[in-house]
Amino acid sequence: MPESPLIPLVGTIDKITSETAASDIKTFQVSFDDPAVMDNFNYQSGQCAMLSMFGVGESMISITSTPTRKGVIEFCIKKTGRVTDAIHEAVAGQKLGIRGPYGNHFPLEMMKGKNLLFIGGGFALAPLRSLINNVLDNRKEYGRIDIVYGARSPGDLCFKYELFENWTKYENTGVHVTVDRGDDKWTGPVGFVPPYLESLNPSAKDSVAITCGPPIMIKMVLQSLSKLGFADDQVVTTLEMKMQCGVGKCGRCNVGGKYVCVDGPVFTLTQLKQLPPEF
Amino acid sequence: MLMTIAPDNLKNLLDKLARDRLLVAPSMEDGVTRLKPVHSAAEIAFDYSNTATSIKDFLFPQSEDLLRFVTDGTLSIEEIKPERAQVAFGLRPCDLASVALMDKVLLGGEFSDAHYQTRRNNTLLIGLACENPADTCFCTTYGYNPGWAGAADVMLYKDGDKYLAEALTDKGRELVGGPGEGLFKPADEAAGEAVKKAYAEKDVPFGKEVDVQGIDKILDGFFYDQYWDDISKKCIGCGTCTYVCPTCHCFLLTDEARGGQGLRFRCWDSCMFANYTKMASGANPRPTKKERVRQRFMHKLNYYPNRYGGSYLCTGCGRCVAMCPVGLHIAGVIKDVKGVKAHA
Amino acid sequence: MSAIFTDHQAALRDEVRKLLTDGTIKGFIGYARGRDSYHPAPAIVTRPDQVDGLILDQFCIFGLTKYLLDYIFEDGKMGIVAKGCDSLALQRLITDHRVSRDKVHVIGLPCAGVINAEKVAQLGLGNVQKVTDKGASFLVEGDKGSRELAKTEYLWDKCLWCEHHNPAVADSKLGPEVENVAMKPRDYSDIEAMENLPPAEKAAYWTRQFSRCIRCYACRNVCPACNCRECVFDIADPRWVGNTVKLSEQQMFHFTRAWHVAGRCVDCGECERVCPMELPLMKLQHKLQKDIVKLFGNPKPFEPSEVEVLGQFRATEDPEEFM
Repeated sequence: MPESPLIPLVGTIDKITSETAASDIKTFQVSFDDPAVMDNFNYQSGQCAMLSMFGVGESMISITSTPTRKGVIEFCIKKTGRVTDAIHEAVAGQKLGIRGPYGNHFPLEMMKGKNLLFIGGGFALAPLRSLINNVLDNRKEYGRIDIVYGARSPGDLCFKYELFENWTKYENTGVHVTVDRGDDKWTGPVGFVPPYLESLNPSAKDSVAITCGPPIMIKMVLQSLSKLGFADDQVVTTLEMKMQCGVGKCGRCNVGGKYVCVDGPVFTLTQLKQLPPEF
Repeated sequence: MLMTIAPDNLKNLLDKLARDRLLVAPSMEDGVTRLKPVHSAAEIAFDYSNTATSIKDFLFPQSEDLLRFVTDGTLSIEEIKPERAQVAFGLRPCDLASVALMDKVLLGGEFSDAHYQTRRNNTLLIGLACENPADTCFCTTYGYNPGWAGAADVMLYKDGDKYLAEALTDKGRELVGGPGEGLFKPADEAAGEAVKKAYAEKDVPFGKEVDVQGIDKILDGFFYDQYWDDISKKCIGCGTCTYVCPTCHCFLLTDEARGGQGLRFRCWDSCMFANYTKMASGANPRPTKKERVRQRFMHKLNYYPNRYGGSYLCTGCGRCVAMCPVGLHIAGVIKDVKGVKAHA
Repeated sequence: MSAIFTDHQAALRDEVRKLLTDGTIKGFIGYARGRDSYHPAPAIVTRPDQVDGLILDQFCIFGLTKYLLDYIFEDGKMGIVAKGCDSLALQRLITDHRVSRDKVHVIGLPCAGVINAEKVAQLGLGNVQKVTDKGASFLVEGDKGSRELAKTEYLWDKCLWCEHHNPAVADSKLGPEVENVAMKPRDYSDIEAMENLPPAEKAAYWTRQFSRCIRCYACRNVCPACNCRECVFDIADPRWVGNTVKLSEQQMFHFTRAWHVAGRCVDCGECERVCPMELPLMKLQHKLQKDIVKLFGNPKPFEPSEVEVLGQFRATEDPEEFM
């Protein structure tokens, strides 16, 4: 093992799944080349890892697979910059560097026995997917589960198999999908996530809402949740900041006194409201 | 145990050390005295108030190789370790104090920075108390003083025509008993303690002007103050303050590759740069000078003490006071926030 | 030769207060007291209550015009105080179409030279109370002593050969114009001396200089000719200059910058003055100026013009055959 936490370990991209019509979002299943490392890679839903494309750089990506399904590590990545462009160009079998896991995780203890309301937008369903599969794998420990998800168009929806075939099979579980603009084949709801969420009118009683999405969606969703009666400590979200080290040293991802890479990315709305609005 | 060493013997010792390790010392070049690698004691400047650059350059260098990689078809990664032994001579109390502040960040927490740790282990720190603090020095603001030994392995105090010396760590004692054998003489303890006391009590005029007491708490409620708007307008967004600062430690990681092989480096970065927090998506949580200037001072005077317990992330070395092109420095901010105007 | 800046401080404050109050300008870029009486700092004020913090004294060297770029996307006018040299910098920004003249209210400051604070601060005069213009010298009175300082020795170098004592661009002026003659002719003898050094000595000299660079970019950020919308050194993709600190990267940065501002440099000397590592950056510009004078017959390459030497191409006059 390298001495420095900044040194990645060698891994392989085992499988690549294109999520969207434009192929700008793909899910990469990876493994560490050293079986012992693979075996000891213990993470929790909500955590991230730093992926390296050598010669290009590193990028912090949330882990979209669930720790309840050992042996599978997946990252859902949108093509947004130099590193993610390079990852998107990769083919199965290609090597990459991985270090992590980093950051805190979704507060599963606080969710036990509660109704869970997941609200996601675009490819930010990725961190939620880890948690959704995690709680579904322990279905009996939670109350009702509702998943509200939206994307710009039907072609932009991620994880379609799970959305439309897998998650719907679980008992007492609802999947509600909306798109900003439909197409010829789309028969589901059309509209932005926040008003759609309000129209579903989920109960705040004994519930926890977990939301991830683009900043503007989060802002509106938080207002909707407040209208629906969710208290700040019933709302959980994640923050995204530029990161370099991932281990609380390089001093760039802080929001006020909190470092998103080690203190985050998961925050309750109560915690978020104590931070300055620099995210 | 206190000892003395004659200037010639000190030079002999430094010459001897330069033979088997990297000797870093204050040296004047084209009018600038800074800490730099020197080949012998002859290149060392002994008459200076402070060096333009700090010990940070050698414990946490501006760019540092982390790993070597080969990507032709497969991938192999080799960690690069900073193996070379170094001795840094002539460190002022402000720099000696800065090391403890850097240790908290880089060695503390769940992850320890191995490269920094290796350099810390491999570096012998020889301090030199301040005879003449500059008019930009304000170490006493933070409770340090011109004789503060901080992280020094050996601390020297100029005392007339000789130096009073104290070995403070095992590494320091090994130096005195090893390469320094026969060069040090026992000192009169009482006289030596008096010299140390005189240095500790030496006047630092600017330090008296800057009172930091309680600023961490004041800043808890100062984030939204108009002050940051006013003060940040004159920042030109260069990295001078952060790069000459002995405690600023923000960095980035970057690769350079050619023909299937390359290096990954760690380089200093600056929270004053506009792109510092800009994400791949184009979003930037600190889009203007206001957020960036506020970040730097909040980090030093509020976030750091809150996170690491007490100390401020500044040692009053005065480099930013002397070198900021627009006079936007931490001493001025402390005075302003506490109600004594130093800036417009 | 003239009155000194301090004599105009009250008039400046009055005018700025009036301009802010009547809405002519939304902010003013001037000077305020810095860490001591030798180092006035730039100050940008937006409210009348801040105006009394503005100062003018014979140490006000900082070229303020670059700040105007912070306001180009906002409505309204900014006010600024400009000496002759600063007005060249302003012309640079206007000529480069980065600042529009009608969005700046310029209070011109005729100038007989600015005292080099770095030299005077060493003299132990203490807190400066008063500076008097004695013609060939300035009398500097501090609370710990007074000295009469010969201008030829204590002004900034650029002030000695300055031929732009009066602002070329101004909406109003503080005080009467001053005699517009250089104290000594501009000469490039130091550059000639360097040109005549053996190559190895030249290389050693510049290697030492560029090795000292800490890549803080203060030189670039203060330079009125470095006014690109996005600097090539800030672009991550493609990355023209690496982040690592090593001689080749430093050279790449400084040479690129030097040649990019060649023929556009207004000779304000701010890059060299703000450099924390004291790199002699103006030597590069003076070499380029000297070459431009000689090769292109432009006697004053530091005066901004629409027709820059390196910004035009006249095929019929080009001596290079292959072009």
